[in-house]
Amino acid sequence: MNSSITQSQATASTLTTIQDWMVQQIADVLSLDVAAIDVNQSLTRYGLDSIDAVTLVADLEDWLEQELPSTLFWDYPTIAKAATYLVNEFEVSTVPSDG
Amino acid sequence: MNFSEFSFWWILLLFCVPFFTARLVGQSCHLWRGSFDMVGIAALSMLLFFHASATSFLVFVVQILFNYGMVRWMITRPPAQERLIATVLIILDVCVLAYFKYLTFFVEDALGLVMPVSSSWRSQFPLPVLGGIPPGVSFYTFQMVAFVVDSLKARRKKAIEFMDYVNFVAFFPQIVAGPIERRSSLLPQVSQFRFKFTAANWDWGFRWLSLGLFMKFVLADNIAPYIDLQETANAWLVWFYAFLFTLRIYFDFAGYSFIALGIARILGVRLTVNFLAPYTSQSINEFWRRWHVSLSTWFRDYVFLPLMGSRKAWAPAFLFITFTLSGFWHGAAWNFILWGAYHGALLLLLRYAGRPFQKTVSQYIKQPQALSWALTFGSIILGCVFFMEVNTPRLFTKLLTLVTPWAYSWHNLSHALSHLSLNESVALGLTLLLAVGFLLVEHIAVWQERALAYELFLVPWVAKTLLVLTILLAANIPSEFIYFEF
Repeated sequence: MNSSITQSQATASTLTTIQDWMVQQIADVLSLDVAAIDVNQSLTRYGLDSIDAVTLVADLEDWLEQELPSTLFWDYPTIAKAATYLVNEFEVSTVPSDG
Repeated sequence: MNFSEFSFWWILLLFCVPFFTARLVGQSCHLWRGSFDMVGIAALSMLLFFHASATSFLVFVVQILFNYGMVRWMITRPPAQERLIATVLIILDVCVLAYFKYLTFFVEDALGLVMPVSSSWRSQFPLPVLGGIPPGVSFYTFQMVAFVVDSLKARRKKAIEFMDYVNFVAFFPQIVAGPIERRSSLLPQVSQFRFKFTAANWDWGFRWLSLGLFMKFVLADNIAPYIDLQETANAWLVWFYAFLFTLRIYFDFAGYSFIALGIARILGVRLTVNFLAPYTSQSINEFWRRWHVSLSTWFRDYVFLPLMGSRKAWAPAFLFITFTLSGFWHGAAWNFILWGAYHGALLLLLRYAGRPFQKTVSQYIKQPQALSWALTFGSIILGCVFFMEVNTPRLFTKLLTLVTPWAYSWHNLSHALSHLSLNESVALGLTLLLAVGFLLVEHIAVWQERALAYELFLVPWVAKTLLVLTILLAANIPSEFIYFEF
């Protein structure tokens, strides 16, 4: 029981780290205030285009050292959905701390 | 299939009554086998395709046999040979499409620009030159190409049954004008096909059908007669007709897609929702994620991403090329190429100039969403000027009119306001009222962040009301589905 609680805490922590990384990157790319980004809002509403979507996946691949689907931000169009997908489908239980 | 033709529904009825009677009797006597369903749906699809065009049917059958055989052979070969076979097959599929759809354009319009082309070239050409495009060739070719690529990439190389492949490429609700389905979504649903006439499928099928019929026969077909392509001098009217066309093309094509979705759902198959309220978009990027979804994702997955590969620095150039090609897919004429290039250029403009513009604007306007929506919708209407006008010299005359200040004179405005009779004004006014109301409901659904932008139209009592309105207000003379020309 304790191990499952620890595991879910670790998953939640990974999820938050990935979301924070995405928020920071998107804020940089789109010159937005970090506080203005809602993780549940569609990324196109912030002006993220196809070019940003593929370059962001490439940056994410470098950061996570994982090969990811190029269509990640089309298939999962919010930060929350994309981060949840990565945690569930890829072995990203630990993420680089130097983010 | 042409859902606005009486003969389509008549053939459907003539096939379904004896087939399902035999099925019912057979099931009660325990003589009916599941595989009869699979053969039945394939036979119905083929019969309807043959009815649409006997010549195209022959071409289609040859393409099915060839593609099936090649893919089956491909997956048994080592990786290098597998890729070679896939490449050859895709090139041949595209060549068939080019021959039927683009031959006349290449010879007369493209080659004709650089050298004189004899008026009798058709009779001298080694192959017969068709006058029109075979129905569905643009759509099913793309579905076949996607199948080749997806089969190549599949982790498990398992041969599929011939009848499953036939039902995958020939499924009658979507073969002629999409949605362009993928192996991963449609194949599992049509493999070992069985009719699933559940209460839920009938219910949802009829809801989608009601929505599609209303959009096509009430909105699109009642707007269509008021669009005049001949007008070139009055800027107000050029904008007005482009606005009407913008509404018509959406209601026409989305209506078709939802009729297809409804029919498929009744049979137990879930097709892709091809439109996601595109006119609620607040940017051109968003528009292309909501408009003709199955085509946009096709171009993304099979053109943009493979073309770009790891050369991400060149992404803007590849994006522009992809959109230009997507425009060319729509039709063999310069205006479609220009339309695609226009949208590609808009995306780049938005990326490089739109962001600083938006930043500046948001300093003065607290809620810039309305302005973003208006600019996006205006850009789409301007794009429709390109799309609707196949006559290139007339297209340039219209564009010139739009940038000529005196084409917006009071005289032209008063002519634009009075060019319709009282009856015409009332009829069009009522249709536009319904159309604007429809778009408003879409906006509300998007604003409420509903799972589906059409959710409010699919509420049971609303769907029934739409069906009643369709019976009462459907246009007397249905117009052709626009996307059949592609």
